[in-house]
Amino acid sequence: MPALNRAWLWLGVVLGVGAISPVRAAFTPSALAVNTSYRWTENISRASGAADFRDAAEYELGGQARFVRQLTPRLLARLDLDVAGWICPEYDLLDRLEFGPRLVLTRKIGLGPEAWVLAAETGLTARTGRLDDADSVAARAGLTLSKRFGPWFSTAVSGSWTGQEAKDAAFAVAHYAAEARVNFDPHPRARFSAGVGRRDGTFTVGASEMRFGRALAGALGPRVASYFATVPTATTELFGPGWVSYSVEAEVEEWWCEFSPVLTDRSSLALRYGRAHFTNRVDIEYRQDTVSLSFLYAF
Amino acid sequence: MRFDFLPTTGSVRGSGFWRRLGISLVLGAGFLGGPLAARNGFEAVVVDAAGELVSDVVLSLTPLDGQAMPPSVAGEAKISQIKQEYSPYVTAVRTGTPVEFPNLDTIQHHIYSVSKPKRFEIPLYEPGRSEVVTFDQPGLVVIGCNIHDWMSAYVLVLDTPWFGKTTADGRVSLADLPSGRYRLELWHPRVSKPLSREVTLGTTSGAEPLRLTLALRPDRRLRRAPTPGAGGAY
Repeated sequence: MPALNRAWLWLGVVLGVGAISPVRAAFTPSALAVNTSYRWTENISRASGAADFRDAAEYELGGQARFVRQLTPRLLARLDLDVAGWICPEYDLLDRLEFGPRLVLTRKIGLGPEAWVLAAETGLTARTGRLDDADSVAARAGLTLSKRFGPWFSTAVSGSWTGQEAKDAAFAVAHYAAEARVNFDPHPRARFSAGVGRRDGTFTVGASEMRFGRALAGALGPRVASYFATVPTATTELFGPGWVSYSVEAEVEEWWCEFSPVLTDRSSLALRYGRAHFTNRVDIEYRQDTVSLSFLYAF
Repeated sequence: MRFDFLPTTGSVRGSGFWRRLGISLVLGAGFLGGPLAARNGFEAVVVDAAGELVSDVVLSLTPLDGQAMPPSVAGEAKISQIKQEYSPYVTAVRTGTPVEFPNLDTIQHHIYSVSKPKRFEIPLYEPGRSEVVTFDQPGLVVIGCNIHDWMSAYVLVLDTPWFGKTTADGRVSLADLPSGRYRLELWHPRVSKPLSREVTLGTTSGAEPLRLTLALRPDRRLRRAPTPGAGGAY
């Protein structure tokens, strides 16, 4: 059975088990939430050469159903079912639908908002879109340790692993991630957050046909040529005729900052700026900047 | 002489009856003495430093001249968990009062207090359940929910029977107070130090409500609104 079909089967099993009424009853519905966002990405194409940089806006509409159950006085189980639709008017092959379940077990060490909280998370995200090659299922597992310090500060560190199986090997990636974040709440109606992170593993990047061909021909040196000859590639036309998507081993250093004002007790905005800097195994660098504005509403 | 109409155990006779009647009259006079003597009403309006009316301020009057306090009567207060909030936010009770905590939500809660006057914890608190906690020590008790960190409530436990809470118009009124001196105290979740002053009742009548100004700290309640990428509960 092909790997992707196996992943879809697992996703179906998880969703099917979740749909069985005793399981549903065990997880009392807790909340429903929707979000919509606008995201502008500079170098959305993840290209290394400036000539191949493509910038674009994407629009997201998402929803979440959350089921929460306290299993013991200190252990909380949470099941989130997420769905999000993305549209990119400029490069419509990026249009996609993402959905999947996420199970989080949370252990609170003590009582109250200032107690240490350890959360173990696992989830699956299925992706289907206009670009068939990129249809995929990603599994994720992670640990997060968080702590609040009074009403003003809270912080969290997390580590995770993500593995994605896709129709085309160029989109099958796996990486480890570590992140630290700090939140500053100067007022109950405003939050500033910042974080730094690092990811190691394989990532999908891209190049125009001409540039990729030159690299394969040795224009960037024999080391690059021999490495690029071994990586999974796919001609996807994502950002133009002949566009090549390929998977590379890379280290990614990221940082981001965010301002999130509260509109009402149930709604908020989030304005975020983030930067990611990729360095692949043969020292080719890719930079990506993102600005997004999101609206969140919890019912 | 035998008074058969009295519920007796068979030994109440003559002088015994008169003795009991006398004791009853003395106790009754003591109990009714207040209302028959001068009784006072008290009204105040509380504003903050900006002159805005403040609700949820607990005003209490503690007698300084040994005014007789009525005995505690069996009463019960209620703090509901509804729409993932505690309601009311502020409750004032007399020492020894049982407080009911009904969970009116469709989800679980985990009520707790780590405050010295009353430490307790009710985990795995299912929808529809209602437990009673008796607040038997005076002081301030802060209530939280260990699942929903933004949920909070305050219970101010007082020895005096004369207290009240300001409504949305900043007003509080008390009735049936014996004349004399009292220590007036104001408390609010955002006050850094309770306001305290002495007042004397019975010297004036039909006075305007007392206007009291309370300096409040900024609201430091935890955010409830959704946060991007956050886990929500916990």
